[in-house]
Amino acid sequence: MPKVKLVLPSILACSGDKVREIEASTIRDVVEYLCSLRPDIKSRIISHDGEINTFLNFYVNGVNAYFIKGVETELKDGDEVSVIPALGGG
Amino acid sequence: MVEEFTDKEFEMYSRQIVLSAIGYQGQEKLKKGRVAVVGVGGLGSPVATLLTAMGVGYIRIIDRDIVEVSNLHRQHLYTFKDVGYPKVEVAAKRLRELNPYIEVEPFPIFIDDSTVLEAVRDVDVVVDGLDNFKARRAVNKACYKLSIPYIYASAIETYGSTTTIIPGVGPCLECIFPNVSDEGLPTCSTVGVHPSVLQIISGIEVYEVVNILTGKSPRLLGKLLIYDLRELTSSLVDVTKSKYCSVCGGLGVEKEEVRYPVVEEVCARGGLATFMVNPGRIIRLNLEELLSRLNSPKYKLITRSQLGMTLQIDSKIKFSLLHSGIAVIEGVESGEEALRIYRDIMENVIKIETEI
Repeated sequence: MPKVKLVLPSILACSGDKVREIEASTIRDVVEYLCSLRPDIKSRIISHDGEINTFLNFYVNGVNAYFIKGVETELKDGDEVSVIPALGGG
Repeated sequence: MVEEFTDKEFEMYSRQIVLSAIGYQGQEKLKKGRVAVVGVGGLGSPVATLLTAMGVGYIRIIDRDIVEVSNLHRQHLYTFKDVGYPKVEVAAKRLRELNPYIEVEPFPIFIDDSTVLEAVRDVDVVVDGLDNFKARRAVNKACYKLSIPYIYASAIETYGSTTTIIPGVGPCLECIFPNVSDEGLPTCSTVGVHPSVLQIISGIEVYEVVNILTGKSPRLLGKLLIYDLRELTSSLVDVTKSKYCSVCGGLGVEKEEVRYPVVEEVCARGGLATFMVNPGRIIRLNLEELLSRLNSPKYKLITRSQLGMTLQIDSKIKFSLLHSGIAVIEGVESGEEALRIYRDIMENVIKIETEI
């Protein structure tokens, strides 16, 4: 499985490392990793119908995966995946 | 054509005029500047205050809300005596007191696709003081259509984010957060917001407005800043324009209308169920004329302000009407009842077609 660099915002990383290397073939694998990292907010990551909640954005080398193949976007060795949540309030 | 600064203005702005980042010419440009602050809540209150004090010549403040006690810890344009009054009315008064040398225009309206083009027309910059993506998506589309720079910002808990959108140059909000929905997103009323993070993010928004108005390059074009108050850290993420974006991608795929429901439940006041009715367009009511028609003993006038009035209807229902046609109705059982009362007053008493 490709090794990719995952960049997490502190809102998701909590006190853990914000940059880490993980194995992931697609964005779906990254989502599964996030759910295992933060089981406390799994229900906010994946909605009740099984879809990834729209507030989470996955940028692959600076391009939003939404505009590539969404969760099926393929990853390769050395890719950088940044997770960017949309914050709602104000 | 900008008039000369008065002695008082010159003194007021002296620390900006000597500041190399603004200077005399920059101050002149601020005075010529026209800005719309969309939402004067947690972010919009400090944004409007700063822009006013700094001498931006025209500031339009847009908000549909009424001041509530729960606003006061972070929205310092308002005090206890303002509770129950339209935010934009109170804010306009405070801002004019803060700087009598600028123009402040209050717009007490909902922001959605039916109102947003009129709301942001004829300004140089639109600043985000909103608390939801539904309205932000409408603002983003309008700013793209009208080619107006838009400073996006949001804040929740101890986090905040902001970016500067220059239509046609960098990514728009839809490029950055495509298809985002408010469903499932925490809100300030459910998880709270630290007032300090609002001050930080609103300060950055104003910095970007000033950069744009004074002809400097905005620092957050193509960059999303995410700030974490707990760790006192910020990250800058590169964000890119997408040719597949439904708003600015040029594919003409944007079909979705951003519209508010005609009636929605809002935070209960004094334990009474409260509903807000959206007229679905901008209405301009003449309140004096309306009051002259309200000669039925069924309706008792409780408060009357510049932009609105509150009526008592029988013993338990309060009906607050803004001159833009928005109503807040307390003490009814359901949205249907709120809508029925709204239609009755508007069509039978005030004699205005509601179209909802």
